[in-house]
Amino acid sequence: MERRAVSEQVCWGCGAGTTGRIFCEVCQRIQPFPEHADYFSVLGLSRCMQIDPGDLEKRFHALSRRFHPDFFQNKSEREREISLSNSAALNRAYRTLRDPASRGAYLVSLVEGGSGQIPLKAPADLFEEILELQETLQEYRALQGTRPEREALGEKLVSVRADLQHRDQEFLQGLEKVFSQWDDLPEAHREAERGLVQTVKDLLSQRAYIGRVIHDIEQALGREG
Amino acid sequence: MARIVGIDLGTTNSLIAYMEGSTPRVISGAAGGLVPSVVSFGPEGPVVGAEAKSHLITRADRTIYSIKRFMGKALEDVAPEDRAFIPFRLLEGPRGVIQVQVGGKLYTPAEISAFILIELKKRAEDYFKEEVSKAVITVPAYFNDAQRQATKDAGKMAGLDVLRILNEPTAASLAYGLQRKKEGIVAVYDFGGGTFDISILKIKEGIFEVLSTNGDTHLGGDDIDQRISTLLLGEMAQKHPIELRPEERQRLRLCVEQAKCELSSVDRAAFTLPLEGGGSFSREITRSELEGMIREIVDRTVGPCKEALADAGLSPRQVDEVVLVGGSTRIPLVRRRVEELFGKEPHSEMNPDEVVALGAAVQADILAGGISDMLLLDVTPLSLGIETMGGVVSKLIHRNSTIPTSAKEQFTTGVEGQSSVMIHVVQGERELAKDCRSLARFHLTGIDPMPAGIPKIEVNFLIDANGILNVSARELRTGKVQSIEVKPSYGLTDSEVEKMLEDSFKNARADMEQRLLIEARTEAQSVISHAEKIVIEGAHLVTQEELSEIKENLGELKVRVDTEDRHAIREALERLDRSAIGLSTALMNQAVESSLKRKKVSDL
Repeated sequence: MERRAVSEQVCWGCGAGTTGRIFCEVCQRIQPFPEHADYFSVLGLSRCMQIDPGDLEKRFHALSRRFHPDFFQNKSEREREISLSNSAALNRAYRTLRDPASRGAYLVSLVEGGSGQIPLKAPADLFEEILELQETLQEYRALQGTRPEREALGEKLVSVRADLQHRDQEFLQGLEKVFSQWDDLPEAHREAERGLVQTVKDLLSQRAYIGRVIHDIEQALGREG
Repeated sequence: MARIVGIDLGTTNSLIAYMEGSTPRVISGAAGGLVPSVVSFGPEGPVVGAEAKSHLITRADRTIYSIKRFMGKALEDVAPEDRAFIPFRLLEGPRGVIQVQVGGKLYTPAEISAFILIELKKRAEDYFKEEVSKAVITVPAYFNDAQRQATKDAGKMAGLDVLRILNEPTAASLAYGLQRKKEGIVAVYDFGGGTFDISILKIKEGIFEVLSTNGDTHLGGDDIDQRISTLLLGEMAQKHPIELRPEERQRLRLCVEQAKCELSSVDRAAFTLPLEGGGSFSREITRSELEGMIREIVDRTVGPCKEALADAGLSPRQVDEVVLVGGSTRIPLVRRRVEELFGKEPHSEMNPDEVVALGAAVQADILAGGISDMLLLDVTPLSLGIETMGGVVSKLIHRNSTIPTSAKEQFTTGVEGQSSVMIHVVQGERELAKDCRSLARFHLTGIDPMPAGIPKIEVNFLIDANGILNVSARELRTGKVQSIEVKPSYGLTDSEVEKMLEDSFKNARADMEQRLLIEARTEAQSVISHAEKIVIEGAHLVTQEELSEIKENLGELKVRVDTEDRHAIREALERLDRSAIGLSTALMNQAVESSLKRKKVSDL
């Protein structure tokens, strides 16, 4: 698990060859991650999109025990700095890869470059439904107190929310499917890669949109606790 | 590694703890482990703790309490109704920083806190009989960057090397974790004197991973006291038209606090407030009445709990254990509310006043290289962002990110030849910069003159394990480190902290002088009374010359004892001592002889 590409092939402390290890074999000093190490390599993974959460957590905990600044309190300033930057990289890598949606967005940014910002896009088949929902939301917000028509609207919102949450789960399943197709791709199949990344992007855009709508419903419903 | 202590710098009380073997312990003074977080400025200089607390009423305008509520804040952050209740004066310092006015002197909240830390440090040094200079200090999990920095500054001013700023609820979880060795999802509900925090953790194989945290840094026992005080004041006003003076207001607060604490164990409590001019306001308060008064405040803790659960992606039922921390969790209504919310009885086996300090001692031991199987992975409570076009916030680090964490962002120039770029960093969840907490303005300076958009400056925003932001920058094409000038929006610049540190050393020297003078005087007084006695008793044992020399020296010391010159006092004291040696010895011999004689008589 210790083999990884570190930025320099020689230890900054004693000059011995590091052959990609995080701790120098000769002087035991911590080595920095390469400047543009991707999140997979930080966690010692190959670029596979299907990730077992249990295994990921184990890796995260084990590496935390090695890098965390708590354990470098008595070390030199340079070692403390590396421990800090390695821990920061590890924490971000774990957060990003743990959640399938952010993992997908990260894949998009790796393949396409750029910030990985996913634009919101309404799913075409839900267009009518969402227009109607916006009206219901407005009506619901406008009505005060506990009048029966307001309660009826509230119930409708709850049922729409359940539908949307179901839809959200479908998007996640769709994402997992694309991830498995990605992992099955033969080496350097550019055309297919681009296609799959586009699918990931579409799924995430639509899911982000639905997430916003669910959030709006919850805001409206949540006001009375 | 030198000893590292753990400090809970609380709103109401503070404690200092250390690790004895594998057990964390609170260092107690004469009156127990709690040091009231009160600083009182009297003619003898500042006093801290129980003694300062005793001056809350008698020196209301010079006795500072609950200073933690003002740490890292601007005067405009303090609600008018809060200010109305404070018997001491708050002023606005540079960049809006709060200053406390005591007589003609101004103190920042960090300086006041430093007095409390010095007292705790002294307590530990008396206990260990050696210098203590390294510490872990706890803060509310929901403290922002400025509040954390202010706490760190206070430590520095107190002569402490603050190795870690630790979140209070997570500190508590370490203390519980060390004792119980249980795994699972734990919610720590920390309701103290001034602040409320909720943290949700996953404990697995010694790793304490915080999943989410939320809270309110202005919600605690003080708010409860204030609410009750306001309601009672309203009642009083109906009977007698009154305008309370600062000391009466303080007395009201203390009476309310006492009644509140009593009602945690009994159903009714008597409340009596002596009034100016001899009268008093008395009434009985029942527990259910109290609960009616404070329900709304207790309910305000529910929202943050729900948000923390949502951020952790958990339902209340998925929480395995709930742990109570902080004095306000002694209130039965609070316990019932927590039980309702999580659907399980909360744990409170450990003393809620001590558990945070004990946890700080555990973290201190981890840092010292003692405990190696426990590791705390905490989170940043608030999102960090930068202000972009139109005052919109671009978030770089989201709330509840595990710390340390970092984010990089590229900046460039907008006009040709532009040599500096300003970055406004804010903390908070709102979309517009003006609705967030402004942290600092960073000026990237010394950019080489180039056409607009050509320089590429990469700025690295790093939140360290203390939850404190560190910023560095470099020009990407040249790799040159870019200099940054930091203007904190609230709080102190490094040079201001240095200045205060210098002043505090000066004051420390003055304090030391004062103490030496008092010691010299005390010693002189005892030598004077002794000499006065022996010149009468032993007048027949020495020559007339000797006796008059002693009397002369005695007279001189009596004059000098009232001066401020401790060296002169010492000198006169020694002269008197020396001249009286003969007389003292003669008297001693006489006493010995007579006792020997008596002995002989009794032997017979």
